[in-house]
Amino acid sequence: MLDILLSERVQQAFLSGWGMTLKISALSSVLAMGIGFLMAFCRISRIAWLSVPATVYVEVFRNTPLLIQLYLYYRGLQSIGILLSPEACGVLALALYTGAYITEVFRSGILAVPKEQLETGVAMGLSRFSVYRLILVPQAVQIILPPLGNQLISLMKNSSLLAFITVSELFLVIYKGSVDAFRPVEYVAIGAGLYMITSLSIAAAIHGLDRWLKRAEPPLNMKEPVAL
Amino acid sequence: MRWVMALVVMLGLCACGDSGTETSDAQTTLEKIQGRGKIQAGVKYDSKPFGYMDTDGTLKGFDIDLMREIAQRLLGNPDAVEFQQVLSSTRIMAIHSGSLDVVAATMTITPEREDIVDFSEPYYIAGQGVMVPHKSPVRDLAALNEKRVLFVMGTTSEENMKQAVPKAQYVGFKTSTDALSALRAGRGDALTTDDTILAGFMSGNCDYRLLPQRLSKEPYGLAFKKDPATQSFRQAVNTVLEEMVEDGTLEKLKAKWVMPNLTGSRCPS
Repeated sequence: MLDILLSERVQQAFLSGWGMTLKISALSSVLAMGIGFLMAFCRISRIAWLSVPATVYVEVFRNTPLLIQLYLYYRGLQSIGILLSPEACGVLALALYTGAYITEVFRSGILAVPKEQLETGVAMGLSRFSVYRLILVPQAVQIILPPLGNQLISLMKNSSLLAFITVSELFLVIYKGSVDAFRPVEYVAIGAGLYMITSLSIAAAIHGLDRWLKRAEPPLNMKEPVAL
Repeated sequence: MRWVMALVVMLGLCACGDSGTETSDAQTTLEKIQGRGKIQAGVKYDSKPFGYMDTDGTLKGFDIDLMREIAQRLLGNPDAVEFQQVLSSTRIMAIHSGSLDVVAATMTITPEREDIVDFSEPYYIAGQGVMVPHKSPVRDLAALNEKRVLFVMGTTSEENMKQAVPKAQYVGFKTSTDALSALRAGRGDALTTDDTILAGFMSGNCDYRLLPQRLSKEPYGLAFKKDPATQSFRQAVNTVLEEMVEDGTLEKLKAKWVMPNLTGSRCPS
């Protein structure tokens, strides 16, 4: 069944499609995390003109299908004279869509650190920035990491939708291969395998990072606040 | 325990259903068509002048007329055809699954495809052409290197074009209208598919022109499922096609649909 992989052209097609999937996913992931980071702080801000737009952003992008968002950038922007390449449309859509989810991941991570710790930090004379850097972020990161990993894996798998706007990523290779070579089962199976390898690698990387963080910087004991 | 019983009963029902279809499979396609009094044909809805949905909502084109003529000669009624839409990328699957009796969808007969489906005798010979916007500086194929060439997935055009212009960048679409709207939006420099379909795009406007070269000859055939049960229908269709060649009906169809499109360019060059 895997004999199609003996052909150099097929190997080339799979590799280039896989490469495109990795490239698009990596770029979108970085952007999505940046967006999520900023939006999370906007969302928990007490300033309305920061928190309201951030909330609207999260609700709009989480509650509409990614495919519709993709078509909006691909076809909608073109109709008002902005012509982005299909790849750019794809990265934009993936980053904004996943960014909305990551905003919520970051927000819940930040809110999970007991408020008392931050207040204590302030009371001890630390600046607000130092409180964030020394107390909040180290703990929040550990809470955030596992759900963040899930979002990045989702993003990578969602990148398969970019085939619909002609980005030649892995799913398009599978689709074209099964249409042109009439061997859908083989192409789908190999493609699914590559997606799985990628997901499992991301999961392993996140897990490794998690363990490394826990070893390098033992968490402050959150369940039992130190009595002062 | 009760749901296990329910499951067993359901499986039993499924099995009955299966055996039901098996008995009908013993019929040949021709017998089935005669039984229901209709041919189920897959055609394109987006490939003027072969198969397209006109502005008044009716299906028109060479392939449509051809199927009606076949229905007339086999069943005595030109309306004894039920049309269903297929795309270049779905037509082989549609034929293979047995949901259609025949596919008449600008389908080139190729050795690779003959391994999967059976073809009738060719009923039309197209050539693969390349269309560029009228104002484009591109005058021949060589000028397309490093440019973006749009094609339709599931067609023969990509391979032919890649051999002729290896350095172009290729972007695939599901339908030729998708590819056309991308060309119109400026997402590509050229569109390649059969010259007949390109001629359909160019009719009635001067926005595009065809490059002089043709990349290949594309003999169109009607496609049937590769199955002993379809053979009698295929032979009947081949006989009809032969008759249509002899009495000039096929030529008339070409004159009606293709010639005015290919020769009728009144655009300034």
